[in-house]
Amino acid sequence: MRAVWSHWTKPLKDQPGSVWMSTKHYLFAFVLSFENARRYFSPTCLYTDQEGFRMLIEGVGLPFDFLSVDLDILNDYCLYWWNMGKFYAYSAQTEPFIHLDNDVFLWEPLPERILSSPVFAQNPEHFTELSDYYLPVVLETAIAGISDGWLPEEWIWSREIFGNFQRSINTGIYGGYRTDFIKYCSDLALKVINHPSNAKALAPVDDKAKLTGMIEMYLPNVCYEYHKEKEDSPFRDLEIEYLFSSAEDAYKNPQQVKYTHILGRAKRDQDIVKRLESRVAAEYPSYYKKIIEYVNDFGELCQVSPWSSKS
Amino acid sequence: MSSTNVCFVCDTLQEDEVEVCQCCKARIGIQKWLDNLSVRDRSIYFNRLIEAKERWAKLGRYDQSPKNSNSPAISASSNNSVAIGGEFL
Repeated sequence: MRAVWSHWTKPLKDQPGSVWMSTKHYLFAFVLSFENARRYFSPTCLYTDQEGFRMLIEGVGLPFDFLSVDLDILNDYCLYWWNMGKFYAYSAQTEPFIHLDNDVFLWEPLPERILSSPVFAQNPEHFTELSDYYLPVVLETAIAGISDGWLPEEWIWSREIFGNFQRSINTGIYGGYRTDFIKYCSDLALKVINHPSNAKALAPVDDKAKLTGMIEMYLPNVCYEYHKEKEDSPFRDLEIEYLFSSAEDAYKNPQQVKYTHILGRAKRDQDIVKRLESRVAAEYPSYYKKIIEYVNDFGELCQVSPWSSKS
Repeated sequence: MSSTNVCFVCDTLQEDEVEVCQCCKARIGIQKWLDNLSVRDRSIYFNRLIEAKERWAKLGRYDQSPKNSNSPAISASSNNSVAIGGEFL
């Protein structure tokens, strides 16, 4: 199975308050994610841009089997659509694959039930109108405020049926062999963002970084549920398998699968990043040296963040 | 889903036989359409409510961020100041 990573430099470089403490920590995580996963997956594939190529390939020396250096086409997008590179990588897959966020580390092989499933993800998530991350109303209000705004029929259906009780998926890992479904969802996500009226409506919205995370993780589930109920859908019989049965299961029972995801603001936890650096220094001294040299030569990509480690 | 004197959502006793009390219908925004749902959609909807209630029963256990402590949204994305499996690092 192909292991896929994506790296679009612009959000990392220009985003005020990038989630990583520094470029070196971002790169330490990338090394560990790559090296751990390539024990179990082949080939390894990277979707990136020219600057990402210079940093990850020429600088750090990560030996990916396949490279796509096309993500400079994203540079006209606002940097807060930070996961556009992921959408691009998802849509490009035509063979069974696993996409790993660079903050996800596999310590052992994934279970066969995951690897053989049509679509898989880290865990299902549940949210209501009180969520501070999933903000469907912000997106819907912006789009409703402009003529010819557009949302997928699956989105509208799910909101009508389930109201404020919504379900999503965490895509720390995401993939499967139904690349047609994954491409369908990613293309819908891109259409939500690219639709001319939507683009105008969303331009002034402050929470784009959260909206795009929501679009990425919410759309696959609404598509899954909608098409399951549609008799003539090619996705009707598709199932999504999860590494963990819920978010609380992931926190409560990570020992059932040795798996790490340094999600969100955990990237600024002093203890976590210290252990990340120590592990890379001890296990991958050659990479470690190259990362330190790269950062010394080219400076920081990540800007100083307003987040404290305990926020 | 059969009607009883207990609201399915909030479990409070009602004067009349109901599936969901008027208060909850208004609160969760289903007032306008619940009665008109097809049998299939009612089934989907109530299955989701069962699932949501199971989630609510576990509220707060892993939501360690004070900002989120009152949120019924149990998601890793909302709880993102804590790493999953950080002990393996």
